[in-house]
Amino acid sequence: MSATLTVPRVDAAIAALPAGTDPSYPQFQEAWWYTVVKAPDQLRQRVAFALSEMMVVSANGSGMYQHPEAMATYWDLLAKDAFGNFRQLIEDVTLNPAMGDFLDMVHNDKPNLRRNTQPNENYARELMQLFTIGLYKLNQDGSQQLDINGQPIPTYDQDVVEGYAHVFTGWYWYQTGTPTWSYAPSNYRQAMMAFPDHHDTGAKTLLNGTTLPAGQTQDQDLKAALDLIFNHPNVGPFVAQRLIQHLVTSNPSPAYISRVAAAFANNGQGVRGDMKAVIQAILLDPEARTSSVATSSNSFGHEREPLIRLANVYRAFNASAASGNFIVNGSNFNFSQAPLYAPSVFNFFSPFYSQIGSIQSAGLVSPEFQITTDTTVMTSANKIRSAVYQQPNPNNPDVIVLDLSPQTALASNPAGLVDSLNDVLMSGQMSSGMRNIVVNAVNQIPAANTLERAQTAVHLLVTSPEFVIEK
Amino acid sequence: MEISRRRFIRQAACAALGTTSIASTVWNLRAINAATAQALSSGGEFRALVCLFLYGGNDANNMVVPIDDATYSVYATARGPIALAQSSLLPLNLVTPDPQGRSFGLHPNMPELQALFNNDRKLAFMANVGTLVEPTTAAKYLNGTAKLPPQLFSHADQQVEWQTGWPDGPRTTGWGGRLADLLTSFNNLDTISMSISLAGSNSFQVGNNVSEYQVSNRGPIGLTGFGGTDGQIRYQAVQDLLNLPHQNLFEAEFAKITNRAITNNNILTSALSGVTLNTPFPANSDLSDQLQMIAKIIAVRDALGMRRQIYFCSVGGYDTHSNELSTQNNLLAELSQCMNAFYQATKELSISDRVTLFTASDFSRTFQSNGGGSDHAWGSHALVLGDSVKGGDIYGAYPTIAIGGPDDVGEGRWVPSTSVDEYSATLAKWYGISSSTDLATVLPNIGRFANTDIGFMNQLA
Repeated sequence: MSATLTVPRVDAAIAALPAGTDPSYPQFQEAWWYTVVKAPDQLRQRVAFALSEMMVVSANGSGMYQHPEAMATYWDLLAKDAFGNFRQLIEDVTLNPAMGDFLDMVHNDKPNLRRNTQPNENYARELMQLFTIGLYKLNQDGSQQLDINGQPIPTYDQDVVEGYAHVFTGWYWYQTGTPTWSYAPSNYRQAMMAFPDHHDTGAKTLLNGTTLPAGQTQDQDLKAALDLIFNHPNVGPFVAQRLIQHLVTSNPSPAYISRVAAAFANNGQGVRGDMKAVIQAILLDPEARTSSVATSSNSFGHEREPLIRLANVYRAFNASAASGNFIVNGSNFNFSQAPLYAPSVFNFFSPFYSQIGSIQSAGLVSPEFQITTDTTVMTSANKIRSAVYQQPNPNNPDVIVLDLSPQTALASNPAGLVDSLNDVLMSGQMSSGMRNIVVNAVNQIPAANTLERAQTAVHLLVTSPEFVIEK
Repeated sequence: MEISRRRFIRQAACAALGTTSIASTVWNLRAINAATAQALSSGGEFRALVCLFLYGGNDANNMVVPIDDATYSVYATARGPIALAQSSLLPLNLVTPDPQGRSFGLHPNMPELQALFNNDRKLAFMANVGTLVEPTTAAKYLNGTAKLPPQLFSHADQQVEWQTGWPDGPRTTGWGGRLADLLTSFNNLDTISMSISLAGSNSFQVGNNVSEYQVSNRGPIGLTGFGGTDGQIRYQAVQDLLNLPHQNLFEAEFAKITNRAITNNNILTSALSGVTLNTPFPANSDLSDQLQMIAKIIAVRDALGMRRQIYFCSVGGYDTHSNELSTQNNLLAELSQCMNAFYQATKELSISDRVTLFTASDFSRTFQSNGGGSDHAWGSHALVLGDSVKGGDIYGAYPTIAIGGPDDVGEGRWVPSTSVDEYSATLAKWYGISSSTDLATVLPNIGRFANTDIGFMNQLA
């Protein structure tokens, strides 16, 4: 199934803006919500979201807030490449203009002696640190390699960052006609364009002590530099661990990471970096599939991000608005999250975040807990509660309403209602204690209020700790 | 969705009325009043530290700039396209002349801080401070013999190392958290945490016993939408679900955070209900809202039974790899106006000698430009503000700004002459840490450095 794209919907929304209203991020946000709730390629969109939290581009505090097509183009790139090859993904990401804007590769010039300037190191550093290999050499099971003193071994040093910064010189907005380096309007739709006169052609020190010879073309430099990253032994375990954390569990076993890293190294047909094989390995792994693992371990699973929680609710109950729009307001305030809207390249939360208390004492990480604050537990519960009870409003056709008719039909049978929701929302994992509480509450709502009974059951389920922690 | 302050207080009040929690709120306030009297008899008067973190790495090279002709000309040549005009810089009148005879100016958009430095003498600069694991030099760095903090020039690592105050230690607690562990007994323990974050999770405030209470810049927030009889039924069920035994550690922790948030909201919402603060704060600034909320919580310190508080607030956008001049114009104007408003608010509350605000940031930036901006570097200049500050001076050693000079490890990355440990120790001592054992608990590496007190704080009686 090919990727459902957000660019056409964003373009239609921009075309429909009233005269005098400039395009902005909300048009992308609407297209994103519509796509993740309504599109058939759900797994692809879910993986794209995970990738968007690893290879971060953000409209937050950026001039790109006024360019929803920039966010849409980047999102569609992630959705298209989610099931492609990782080598293609990193090349597409590297040349994407929104990434170029976000991490300053666009208009990155070769050293200029007169102005005493050096190439910009931003993209070079984060491509290695955050997107592909990380700071320290890894074993294939994701653990750090240690030197004879028991210390982790850095994967690169400042010289390598500067080497990559020189590789990534000479790219600017795509232009038609006679291209110019001096000034061109931004173009967030096409990959950045090469300007060989502004590319540094000196020798470059890159990963693993490799030196690129002087005098290569811009394209040769780029391909060789990305090949070196792609073939670095860290990439498999690095990508495996991050994707497992986003999709399944915060603390995968070393064996689980190894199995996924092996699928990254070889898809069974000798191909490295096949994302389909990687995602299959993640989702079909016994550690992900066996419910006894989920229930017997006290540390399995991860927190559903607030944004994902709301998307789960909207999808489970076929939400829609009379207008056909899908406008979700207040996301950043209520969730500390909005699509392609992280506060920085470090995403909304760090993969290393460990909540103080029993989680940290157990030596575990809990990335999503970094945005699980005294404030957001309240605001996200309030926002999701409000979504559950939303009713059609003739004065506001944009109100998003859940279709709870199947649940309303079960209102006279609270136990049956709760059991059906348990299957739909919680893979049948609800504890008997929780079931008793929810059934008891529904029973106390007057039997004639059938919709309110359904809403009560959904509301209590989706704000409960057992739902919030996906296992 | 924009919630006005009045509206969310109303919502919170409605939520409370629909539940049994109103009773526990009253109980808590009674407990606070009783405990307050007890607490007031020990621990001295109130003190608050406010950490303002500039996320992204503030280019301090353009915040405090040499303006004497000779040094400025070196600055202008080396910085190239990101040099500020000499005539635009706001002159600083130093109490103690620079040992190298240089004079300095402040970024043109910081007139409020210029006045606090030159006139009020309540603002000081800590020059060239950064993460170190031992004193070192550029020469040692360049010949490979320097012992270095892990992952210099990496945002996430340097943020954590600044905040833990222990670059080569475990990253599990911060120096503010360890400080709070030692002094939390001065507070009524039935109240909210003494560590309050207006900027969410951070490493600085995490202690072994004390962890931070995260408040939004509009104040605490509670659960809403539980009005009426049916609402009460649901609220009871929500509480019952939270209080179920949770085998899974993540479920247990999520329930714990939610329960804590409900309790904290009830306590702080009640305490803040009567607060008034007349000092104007800048509009349309998250940082301004954060600092205003800090001032309000400080204003109700007695109602909360608190004699020690540690605050964390932050502002992002300082990672100026490009468009540096225009970006910094906005950011440093905001910083100057917000810090001034906060200081004036502490004056209004007659607490300005008991509240010290200090800045921190990932790192400074390369003196050499990349064309439109600058890249990740190391030693930086920080700001300290309050009536306990010996203001009007630049403390530490302002670096020799020469590319390839004695302080440069490459592209104008200055090797710090003062460690984060020494900077923090000076603040910790003012806050009430006196014994060297306690100081080493807060800052475990402090023994490796010359100074436990840089001298920019007047010690309180």
